[in-house]
Amino acid sequence: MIVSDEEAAKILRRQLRIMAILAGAESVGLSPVSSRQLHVFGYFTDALAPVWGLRILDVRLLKLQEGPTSSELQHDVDRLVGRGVVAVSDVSHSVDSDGLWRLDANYALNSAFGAPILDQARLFNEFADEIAYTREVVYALSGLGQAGLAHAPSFDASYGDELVDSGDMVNLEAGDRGDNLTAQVADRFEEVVPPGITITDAEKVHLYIRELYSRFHNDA
Amino acid sequence: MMPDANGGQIEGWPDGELRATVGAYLGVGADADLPDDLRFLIGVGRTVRARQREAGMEGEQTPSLFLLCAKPTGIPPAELAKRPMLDNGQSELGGSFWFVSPAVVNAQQLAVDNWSDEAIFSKVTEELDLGSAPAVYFDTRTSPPSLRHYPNGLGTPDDVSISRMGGERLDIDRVLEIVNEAHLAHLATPHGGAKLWKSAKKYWASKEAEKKVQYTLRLALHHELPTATIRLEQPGMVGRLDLEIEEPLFAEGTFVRHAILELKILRSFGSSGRKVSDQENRLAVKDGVSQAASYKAIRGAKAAALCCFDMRKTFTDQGCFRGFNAEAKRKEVRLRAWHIYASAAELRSAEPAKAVAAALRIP
Repeated sequence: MIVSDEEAAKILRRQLRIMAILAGAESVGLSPVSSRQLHVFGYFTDALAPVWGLRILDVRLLKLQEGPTSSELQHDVDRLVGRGVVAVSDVSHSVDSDGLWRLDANYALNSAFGAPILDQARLFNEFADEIAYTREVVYALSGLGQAGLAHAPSFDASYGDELVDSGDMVNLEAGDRGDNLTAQVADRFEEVVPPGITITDAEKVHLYIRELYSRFHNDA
Repeated sequence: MMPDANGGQIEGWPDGELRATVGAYLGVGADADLPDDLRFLIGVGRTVRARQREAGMEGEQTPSLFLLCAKPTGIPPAELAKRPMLDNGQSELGGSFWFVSPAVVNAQQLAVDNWSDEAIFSKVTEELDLGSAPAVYFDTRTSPPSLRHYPNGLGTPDDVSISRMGGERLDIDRVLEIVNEAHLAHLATPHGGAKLWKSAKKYWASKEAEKKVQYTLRLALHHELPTATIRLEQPGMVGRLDLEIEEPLFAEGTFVRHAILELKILRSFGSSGRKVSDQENRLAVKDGVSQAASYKAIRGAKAAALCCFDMRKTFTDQGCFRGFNAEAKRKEVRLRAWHIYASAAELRSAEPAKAVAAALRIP
């Protein structure tokens, strides 16, 4: 299959993000990462990307009761598994609450191959930024724990939007009024911090996830 | 949901609610660009401070130990308890090992019976084989409580630094002492590794010298003040300040700005070999006094200092402030200069005592 340069660049970025997610998960003790968790990490990495000035890779995805699922991300995970960069275990299939067949598996970065690739990528500023950002999203989300992580999308400004029904498309594209709602809320923290403080992009990401944590906690 | 016209407030995400999250967690993520071992120390400091806020200064009676090892092997999973969002202050810390990542948010807890230092060190280094894992020991038996940081793990017990956790007032003298230590260890000569020179032999300062000094000081301040947030380049009406030391207070949502540090590099030559005149250097000092005073007043900081790093050929000690001392005193700006030597030999010649201390790394 012939892909455009733009598509090839997107695939490269997505694969780097997957590796960075799995490396970050290893670092916070969450490895191996289940398919569900991997897609949740992937979703938030996309939804919050504008906060860091990065591109969203999967602008639209189907809203499912099970949580975010990106066929593009899964395809690239499978490619990385095929190359031995990602190790897969506990593979099974099940029918989810939407009545769809789903692949369940656990994934971990094969450090022997994955770590040198990430090290090389970090030599380039644009990829270094992407990897650092992804790691920060994983660090922030790790604070939610397993249960919080599973429920985080339903509290998210975009995925949890009550106006988007299950089976409809969640759109992360920038609208007339700016970035997607998730990024807008994260950016809004800039306006509510005490006067005189300029917070970093990383702080916005962490504060946004803490906000989801508060909502999840209050809802429990 | 649409962003509304109410001052940009987002429907469903009221500012008041976001403000409460900021109040509880301001500073989280501000360390994202720092090395992992330093983030670990800062994260533990934040966790302990959150716990003190929740349970009171005397709330924790038994020490605890944090290990930078998010997934320990050799411990039966049944003995480990998962503790998400450890830094929300809700979890009792005492009497446990906490296995954490550099971010110190998602933790695994191992409860330890009959806490004693000997047993703890032995368990970590021998039983768990984690003697090289960076560790922070929260010691509740000292007054005030303290953090004992073992950057190379409990297997190297003599390599330890101690931070007090009693909510002590941080005065500007202590801040300048930290700057002094950082200068001695990392900045005084090219051996410190900060790469401040384009060509030390020619006295050509690097274009990035100020940024590098700023980064070095930021690391040092974080290391010595693990509960503080060190902010860079905060914008204001009169420009961007260089370094600000901010710390959350015990009442949620409140914080204090301990100090503002304005940094200036004095040079003989720029990075391209251009000669920098005395007038230019004096202007930098003059501006520095004025900027430090303005930032302090505008931001309500407790103190301000102008820190000059003098890379000129001739050692003048505090001479660069000649003519500015009275103004600085009036504006309550502390003045300190440190010389950056182009070689260790120059340091030995100009400040022999400091050279010995630098060689021995004794601050």
